[in-house]
Amino acid sequence: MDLKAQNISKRFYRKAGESNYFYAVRETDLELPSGALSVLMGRSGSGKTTLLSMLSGLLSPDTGTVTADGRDLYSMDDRKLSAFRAARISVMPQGRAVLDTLSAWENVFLNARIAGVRDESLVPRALELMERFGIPDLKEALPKELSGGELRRVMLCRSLLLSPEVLMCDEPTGDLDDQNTALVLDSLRDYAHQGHTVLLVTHEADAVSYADRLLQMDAGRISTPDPV
Amino acid sequence: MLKSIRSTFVMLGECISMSVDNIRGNKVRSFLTLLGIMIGVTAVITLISTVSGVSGSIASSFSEMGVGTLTVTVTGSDLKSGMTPDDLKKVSELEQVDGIVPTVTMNGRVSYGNQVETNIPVSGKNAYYFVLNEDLIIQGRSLNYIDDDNNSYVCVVSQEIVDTFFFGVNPVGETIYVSGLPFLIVGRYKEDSGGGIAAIFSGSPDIMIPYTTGMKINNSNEVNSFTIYLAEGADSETAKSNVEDLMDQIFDFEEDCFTVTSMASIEQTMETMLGMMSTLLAGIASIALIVGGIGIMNMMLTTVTERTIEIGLKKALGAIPWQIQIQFLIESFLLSIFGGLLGVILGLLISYALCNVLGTSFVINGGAIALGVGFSAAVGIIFGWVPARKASRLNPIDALRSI
Ligand SMILES: Nc1ncnc2c1ncn2[C@@H]1O[C@H](COP(=O)(O)OP(=O)(O)O)[C@@H](O)[C@H]1O
Ligand SMILES: [Mg+2]
Repeated sequence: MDLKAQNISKRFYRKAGESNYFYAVRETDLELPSGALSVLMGRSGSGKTTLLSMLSGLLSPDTGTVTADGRDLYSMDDRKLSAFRAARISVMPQGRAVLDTLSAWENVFLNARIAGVRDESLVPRALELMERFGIPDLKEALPKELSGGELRRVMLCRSLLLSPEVLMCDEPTGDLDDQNTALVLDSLRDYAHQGHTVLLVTHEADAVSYADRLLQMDAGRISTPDPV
Repeated sequence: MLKSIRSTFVMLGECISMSVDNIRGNKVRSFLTLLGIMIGVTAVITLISTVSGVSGSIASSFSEMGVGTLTVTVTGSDLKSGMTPDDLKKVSELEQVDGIVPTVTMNGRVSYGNQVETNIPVSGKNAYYFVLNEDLIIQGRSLNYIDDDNNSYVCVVSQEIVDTFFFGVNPVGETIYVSGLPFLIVGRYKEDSGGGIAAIFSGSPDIMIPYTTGMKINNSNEVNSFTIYLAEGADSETAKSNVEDLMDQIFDFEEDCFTVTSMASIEQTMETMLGMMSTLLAGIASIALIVGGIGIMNMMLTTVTERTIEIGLKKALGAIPWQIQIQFLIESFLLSIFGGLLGVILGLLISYALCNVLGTSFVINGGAIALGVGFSAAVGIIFGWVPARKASRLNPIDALRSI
């Protein structure tokens, strides 16, 4: 699935009710083709998460449109858009995005539960993913017993479980050591090369060498046009 | 299409299991949330069950005593202040009447040997009373018609009197002084004098003497109250009007000389009163239920704020708003239904204990249980609605930024 953003902007107010707003993302055009790993880099606060949110259908832009295979995401109602995202776009948020009452294993299945997918073949797939990312022994662990890096890999397994057409990861290597970072980056590139659309948001310099397309974000704009 | 119906069901199942996960994952909070409902339902069940137990036993006392009775209170006229034994005889000879028991009471000074006791309840009874209560006498004989006709100075005594005056002595055949007059003890009766409601109202007497003798001691030729026992199959309303007709004649058609009350109507009044009382009490207890519901709403609203991360994450992962809403609704429904069930169990236990203490029979009141459970289910849905809606409208981005 190809994702296309045209002229999207998002502005935020410094303080609620005041008129001094600023643009977190400003008049940006962007295309995410399938089969390629797109890497979005940029300093903290440059608007990467905001852009990712708009591209993934979580945050409606103030101007412009986001289309997925020609379908305008933000012309759908909340219900349709949620269902569309559940079925086709997987987001791995920045931060500690897990449910504390569920075990690691249950957290891996959270997407599937929400999407209403109950499929026996998901069990071996989940096992295989946890194996690949080196956390097969943590199935029963609760999030509060896990380190940041372990949690991040649980979240990654969760994002990959349903083999989404579009995968967007916000700083997935944040708490990882070099070896695991390489493992994750490698997996994401593989996944993209299987024909999926993958967007990686990071400030990790290593990611450059994995990128099929490199996007540099600066103060709300993509400053380096496609370098391919 | 079929696939989407199936996945809707799977989603619904997931909503339920997520609710259960959440309740189980936060045991203390869940318990505190359902506490209000539990207490409310406990109160309702306890009140209704206890009151219905009490009213059941009052009703059964009435029927024990015989609904087929009329009580007559005589105020009399200027010329005639009460009923003479001959008047009473006329009443007892009416067709629907099986017999009558006059009420003659006094508090006597009782002595035996050197021992004196004052304020002993003494009651004048007729022979028919002992025919009605044939198991009453456990030693000696009862008072009979000859005693009535001759104003005999004989009496039967209770265990209390035996314990007080005749420790280790056979009382029958002894003479006891009541208000200075010698009475021959001819029998002893069971402590529970079988008075039923009457005993509750008037206390049970310790000494029974022939009513005619009692009237004499009271310096009176007349009786001012008596109970009519109807013949089998007699209709209490017809009997009542026959008695009234006869007594009108006896009192020369003067107005307001007496009132005849049928036990059936007293019982009915009593039942109506108890019914009203239990409705009122249940109403008051329902307030507790509503307070419990508000407690649930309050707690759920707080948790919505507390659980923005959970909700936001689910929404970010593609949860449709109704999934969130349903999950919250199911959660509050389960909590309050569970609280309701705990309340029912607790309420039944408490009212069982209360009924034991009060000595009334314990009846499981299906209506009260249905009311408690139904009400708590409704409370869960009604008061869960607002928080569920709030949760479903939460903006996932705001939630994710706070992680
Ligand atoms: N909901 C919001 N309200 C106000 N300001 C916001 C909001 N979201 C993001 N911002 C601001 O927009 C800018 C870009 O944020 P973000 O996209 O999270 O940056 P990045 O992910 O590149 O670090 C930041 O200055 C941030 O403070
Ligand atoms: Mg960010």
